[in-house]
This record gives sequence, structure tokens and C-alpha cells, in this order.
Amino acid sequence: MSAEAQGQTARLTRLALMTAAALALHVAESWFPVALPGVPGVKLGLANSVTLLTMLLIGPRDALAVAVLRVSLGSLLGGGAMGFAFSIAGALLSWAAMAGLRVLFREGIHTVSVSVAGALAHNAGQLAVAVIFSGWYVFSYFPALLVSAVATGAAVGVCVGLVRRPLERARRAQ
Amino acid sequence: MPEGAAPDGIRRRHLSRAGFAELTWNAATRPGLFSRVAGTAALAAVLALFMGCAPKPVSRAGFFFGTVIEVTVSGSGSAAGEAALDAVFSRFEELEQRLSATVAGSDVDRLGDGAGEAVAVSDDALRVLSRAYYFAELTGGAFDPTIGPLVALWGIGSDGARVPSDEEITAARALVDYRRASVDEAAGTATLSAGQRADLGGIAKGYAADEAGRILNEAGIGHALVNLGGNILTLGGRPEGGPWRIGLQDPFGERGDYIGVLEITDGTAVTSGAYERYFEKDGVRYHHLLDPSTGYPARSGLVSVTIVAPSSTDADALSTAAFILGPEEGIALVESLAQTGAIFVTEDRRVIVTVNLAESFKLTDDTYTLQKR
Amino acid sequence: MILTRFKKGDLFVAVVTATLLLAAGAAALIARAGAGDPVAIVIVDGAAVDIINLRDARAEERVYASALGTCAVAFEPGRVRIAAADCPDQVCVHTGWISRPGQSAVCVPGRVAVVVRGDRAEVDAIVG
Repeated sequence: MSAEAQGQTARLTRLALMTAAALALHVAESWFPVALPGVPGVKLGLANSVTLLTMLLIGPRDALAVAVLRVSLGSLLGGGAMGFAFSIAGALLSWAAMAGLRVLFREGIHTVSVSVAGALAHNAGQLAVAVIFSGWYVFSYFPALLVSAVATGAAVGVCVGLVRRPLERARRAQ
Repeated sequence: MPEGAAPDGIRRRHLSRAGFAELTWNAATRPGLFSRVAGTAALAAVLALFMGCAPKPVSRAGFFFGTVIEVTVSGSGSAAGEAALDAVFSRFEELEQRLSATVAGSDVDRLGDGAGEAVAVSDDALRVLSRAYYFAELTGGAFDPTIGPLVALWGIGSDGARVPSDEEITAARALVDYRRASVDEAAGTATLSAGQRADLGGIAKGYAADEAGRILNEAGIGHALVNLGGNILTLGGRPEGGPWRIGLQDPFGERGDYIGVLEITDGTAVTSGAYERYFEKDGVRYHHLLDPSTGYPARSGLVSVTIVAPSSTDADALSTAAFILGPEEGIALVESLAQTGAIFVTEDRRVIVTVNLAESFKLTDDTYTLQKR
Repeated sequence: MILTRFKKGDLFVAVVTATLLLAAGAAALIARAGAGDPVAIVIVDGAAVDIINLRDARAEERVYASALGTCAVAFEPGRVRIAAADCPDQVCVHTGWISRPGQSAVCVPGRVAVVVRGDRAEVDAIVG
């Protein structure tokens, strides 16, 4: 195999692994009882950790690909139209926020903050979809969603930070 | 886009602001990984939409049994929905003609004129009456469909509402006795003793709701909410997913205020409340839930009883009976029945919930205290 | 990764989060207060003939005639009532102004009913 093809294969494999990981998290977090009354399908946003990790390790474009793939495949596994809407809104906004922050601040921002911002954007996306489906009363869940976003984002950010160095080192060793 | 060959050999792409714009433009115009991903996403979206389709609900309001009725259906096309609603509403009309105590010539009306003779009545009346007598037996007469004379005497809900004298009450009470009435389903007749009158107000709406549910179910409707002036019957859950959310009317508040939320899928909920119909005289409130054993409005310490059951006919009769029986006996009654739950609201603002409803009922008004049984 | 020192980006995110939390608090209060536009539905002879959004209703009176009687329904921004009816008991008129979802004024003899419904409320119906 030419170096080019090898590179492509490596890239595809990497992306596939990331997507699989994201998908696993996506399914796992749908088991969490985050259900707000009257709004089924709301998620914590753990799968966005993979989006962030991909962004840090590879790049924002591939991170977006992984995120979109994860949502598409995940919704085929269950969740219906509503679940898909929540997931795609959350994933896209999350990616946009994280990628945007990375562009704006480059190294001038901690991973944890990026992750928190991503989680906030994720929940904002979910809230927007909830308003479309169920009306303005869901806005009363906004504070709870914010707090949960900060908590999830921080936790996720810490994990990603912990995992990142070893992963980069492992790759360098290849 | 500047690409760096980092020391570990991986091509990392760093984004500048211009790069960001370029990325978006490329994604929109050039074929490649991104477009393929987007295509997959679009396809998956279409598939997911088909799987979780929630077509627009169809709703109709009407007016029967002296109250406003609203039926909402979804889960089929709108043409099928409208056809189903047509069937439901014409059934309501039919039932009103047969079961109403105020419609001249109705089965209930003619039954009262029978004076000891068997009267031929419709299948609906037969079914409702036999179910009513079953509950009369089960509740020891707390629910009694022959309560007509007492209801007419008090006249609660009409202009002639008044406090009758003790003699009048005793006389009327003597006529209230389900054991002296009977139903012959084979012959298609029902009989009341001389002077007795039937009043199916405590069970007819439940029966109508059950009929609506049956018609909608046969029409293949997957999600429906039938609201007969506060009697709720559901098919499936909300079209967008999740159970139907039913508010519990605040017995001390205005119409439309609710103190808690009940989550129901495929079930019914019926409330009997002291606040529904009453009149006040000399500072005393007389409500419409008359206790056949005393002849007076039931004074059981309750202001409302809500029954959740698979059948609205049963729930309707049980809510009246449980109100009259009071919390202790009422709860015992409900607990002895399968798939039946109840929420009692007392005069001192306690909300008692049977164990089987603990998961699906959430109290949202903290001026009440929740007691689980 | 351990909290070495705060960088510009961290400050930005912190500020945004704080602002959002404040906005959320305010929004939540507002959302609790209003659950959508109340809508009045007028039902004559069993069919809904008029659906009027009460939020932007003009002050006016409309007359509805059913097979059994006539009713005058008065609208004002935010509320509605049966102003006059030719039924003997006048219970419908005595009900007075209604404005909250779930409330209704009903003329039983005249077969005219006015029901107020919320646009999208937290509950789908009220049992009671």
C-alpha cells in the first residue's frame, strides 16, 4: 500500500473507532434517567466528549464528521424523530461552540472550558428543539439544564484532558 | 488550509478564521468525506422520521351530557381521524338520547314511569344499569343508581336547589334502594319499584367515554385523548412520545388550576368533587354527592376523589362511591380492585395516593401534603 | 490540565455561563407565568364555530344562534363571557368572565358553550 493509501486507511480506521466510541456513549447515555417530564429524548451530552477528543487529536472537520455520523447511526438504533432532533441539535451546536472557541482562543483556553461550552451549547440545542416540540413552558427547565451542562462539561473535560496525553503519546510511539 | 506535518507523522489541520470559512464552503460544494457524511445523515434523518412519525393531531369539541366534550386523535391520517371523530360524536348523541335523565323519552325517563312494571330499554341502558347495580352491591349501596328521587328533591345544579325538610328526605330515601330494582338482560328490560327513579349521572359519562375509546380503537387510532367535561380517557400516550399528562383539578382553586400531574398511558381518570356542583345556604355548602344512607351530601372529610382505572364506566361509579365512603373505606375498596388506583384530597389539604399510582403522580402544589398508601 | 492558571478563554466561558445562568433564571420565571396564548372556543350545537385568540382579542360582542336559542358573547383582551342569553336559568351569564385555560361558560338549554384553552400547556387536560 502506498503511503497515501496507508494514511487514508489509518484515518478511516481512526474515525471509525471514534464514531464507535461516540455511538457507544450515545446509546449508554440514553439509559440515564434525564427525562424531563413531557420531554423524552433529552441527553446529558457525554457523547460530545468524543467530538472534543477527535477535535483535539485530529481536527475539527473530522470531529464534525464523527458527530454527525454518531447521531445518524444512533437514531437508527432508537429514539425516533424526536430523539434524532434532540441529538443532532445538541451535537451540531456543541461542535460549533467547541470548534469556534478553539479558533478564537487557540491555546488560550483550557480543555475543561471548551468542554463546558460544548455542553452548554448541547443543552441549548436540546432546549430549542424542546420549545419547538412542546412550547415555551419548557423554558422553565433552562436553569436545571444549565447546571447539568456545567457539571457534565466539567467532568467530560477532565476526562478528555486525562485521556489526551496518553493517546497522543501512544500514537507517537507507533 | 495550512497543514502541518507534526512530529508524530499525523496530518493535523489547524484552522484559522479563513480556514473555517473555507471548510464550510468546501463542505457545501465539493464531494468528499464530508459530503458523504452529510448524505448519510440526511438519509438517516429521513429514515428516523419515518420510524418516529407523529402526524398532526385532529381535534373536535362538542356538547353532550350538559358539558363540553373534547376529543383529540392522532396516529392516522387526518381523513381517518375525522371519520373516527364522526363516529364518536354520533355515538355521543345516541347515548345522550338514551341515558340522559333530562331528555324526555329517554330510557331513564321511561324507566321511572314504569312503576313496578318491566320496561324495554336499549342495550346501552341495560349495560349501564347492570354495571351500576354491580357497583351498588360492591359498595354496599354507597353508589346507588336509584338515587333519582333524592337528586330531584335537592335539585342541586338547577335553579330549584333547596334544603329539603327531614320528612321529605326520609320519604325520598325510602325509595332509594337498588335491591328493589332489577335488570333482565335476556328479555332486554329493566324494572324499578313504584316511585323509584334512576339517575345515571354518576356512571353515564364514564360509559360514553368507554364507548368513544372502543370506537377509536376499532378505527385503528393509536393516540387519543377524550375529555368529557373532566372525565378523561386515553388511548396510547402523547403522539410525540411519553404518557399523557393530566392535571388534577385543585378542589379549592379555580377551574383550570391543578395541584399535581398524573401520567397516563391507555387508562382513564375520573374525579368526583364537592366543588363541581353545589349551592350555599346560610353559610353551609351543599354539594351534589348525596349519601344514600343519610339523604344528605356526603360528609366524609373529602373534597375530591380521583380514580384511575382501565374502564371509565367503573372509574365513574367508583369515584362517586369512594367519595361517599370516605378515605378509610374508599381506599380499602380501591385496593381490593385490580388495576385501580385513587387519589383522595381531604378537607385539610392532604393528598392520599394509593401505592400503585405513586410513580405516575407528582404533586406540584406545596400547599398540600402528600400521603402515600 | 490541572488548574494551573486561568487563561483568556476560560474567563470568556465563565462570563458566558454566568450570563446564561442569570438569563435562565429570568426566563424560567417568565415561562412559569404564561403558558401560551389562551384561546376561546365557541361551540354551538355541538360544533366548534369560532376560535378566538384572547391575547389579541378586540373588545367586541358577537351573537351566536343555535337551534334552541341565542347567546351574546362578549370579548375583551384576555377574557370572555356570555353577556346575554335567552335561556330561563341564566346560569351561563352568571358565570361571568372567564380567562384561564380549563374554564368554561355553558348555556345548557341554548346549546352554546364557550371554553378557554391554553395554547400549549404543561398538561394535556385536567381531570376534575
